[in-house]
Amino acid sequence: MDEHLLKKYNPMTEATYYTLLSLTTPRHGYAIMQFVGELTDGRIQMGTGTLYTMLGRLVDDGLILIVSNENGKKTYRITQIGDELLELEITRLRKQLKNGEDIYGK
Amino acid sequence: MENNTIKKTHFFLSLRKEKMWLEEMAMQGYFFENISSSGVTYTFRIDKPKKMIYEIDRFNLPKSPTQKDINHRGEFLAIAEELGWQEVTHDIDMNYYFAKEYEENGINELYNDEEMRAAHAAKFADHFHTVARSLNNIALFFDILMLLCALANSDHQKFYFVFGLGYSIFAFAYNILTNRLAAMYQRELSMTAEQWLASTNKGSNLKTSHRLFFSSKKLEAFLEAQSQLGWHLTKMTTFCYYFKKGEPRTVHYIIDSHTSVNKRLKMAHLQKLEDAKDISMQNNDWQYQSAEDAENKGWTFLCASGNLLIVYSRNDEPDEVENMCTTRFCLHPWSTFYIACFLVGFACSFAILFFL
Repeated sequence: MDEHLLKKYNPMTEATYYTLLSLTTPRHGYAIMQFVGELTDGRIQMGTGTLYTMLGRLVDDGLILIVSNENGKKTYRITQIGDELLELEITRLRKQLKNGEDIYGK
Repeated sequence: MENNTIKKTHFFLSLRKEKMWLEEMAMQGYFFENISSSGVTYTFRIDKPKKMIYEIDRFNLPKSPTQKDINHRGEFLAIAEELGWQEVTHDIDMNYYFAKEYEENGINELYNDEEMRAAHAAKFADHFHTVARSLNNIALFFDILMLLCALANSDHQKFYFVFGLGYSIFAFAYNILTNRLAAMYQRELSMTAEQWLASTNKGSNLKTSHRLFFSSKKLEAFLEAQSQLGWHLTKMTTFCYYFKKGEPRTVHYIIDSHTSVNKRLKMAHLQKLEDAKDISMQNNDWQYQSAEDAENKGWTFLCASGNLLIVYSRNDEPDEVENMCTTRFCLHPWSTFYIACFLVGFACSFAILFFL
């Protein structure tokens, strides 16, 4: 795993986390927005600007890739690197939650 | 012109106000279609009233764009379209207008988080700064050209000088204007619609006064008189005083500066502070000392004017010793120096113009 990517995506922002989660199955922009919105009960709203920047950055860093492009409507899917980073993040979050529960009580 | 369109002329400096106006027009059944090259005439299509959201955005290209920079616009437009934003038109300045039907519980902003809003605002500020910078370069080139012309052609020297000077003044004024616009756009677009509405509505509680005071005593008296009228100081610069409406009561102000801090130290037989080495005045010992003194004396910090003055408020009247330690002049020697330089420069330009 690239040192630079580890630094950038571990820990990752909530928006990145949910975008990666939504792309475990191929989705296009609008579907990502809906999926993330539903999963978080509308707490995280991926607007046009956010979505555009997020997808551009993730494609550049190789965490996701474009699987099809029909008249500019692109469909994305997570890559091997993205998978690994997502797993690292889930492990980290699990640890974080455990620490909280251990000290603060359940 | 078709029958179902209408033209309206309106001039906006503020993008927020423009956006709001377009949205109000849509509520009345006028849908924005096009903008004239002058940027003030809007064409509307008449249809059934609908709640619409309009956004204005731009796609700045850097000086030597990469292919990615060039592709950026197309990719953004594709995603925007997917999420329901229609590109309406763009004006001559390449500001793009987007429209979307209002969605209950939907995302009714093109940029809906703080980071994105800041980036959006920065694009407009960057545009203005670039325009101002290129104008600066032209002004410099033009001035040198005029100077060379004046040297080569002794018959029309005055003409060249006046022309060069005139253009420089224009460039200078334009620079000030664009910088102010950039600051305004930056401020307005970094806010959410609710924050912006709140900030425009509370205008009646705020007041700005433009004054120039040389003496601290006069400034203190001015501020005290304002507080008796219910205007309490929130911020100040050399020329501008910003007040907020409150309950009318007498507030005693204290103008603290490098000089008064040193006077207090002298009274206490302590060593004077020598921190005038930093010409930018960004790191001054007197401010730390002043804050410490204020805490001991129970003064409340109000605001600072640059790095020259700090204004405190207090409940009691100043005593004998404090009266002796006040600053006499509220302008820093450097400000006086700048003003003097400006006046000398101005006098010299006139002298060159009329005695050559």
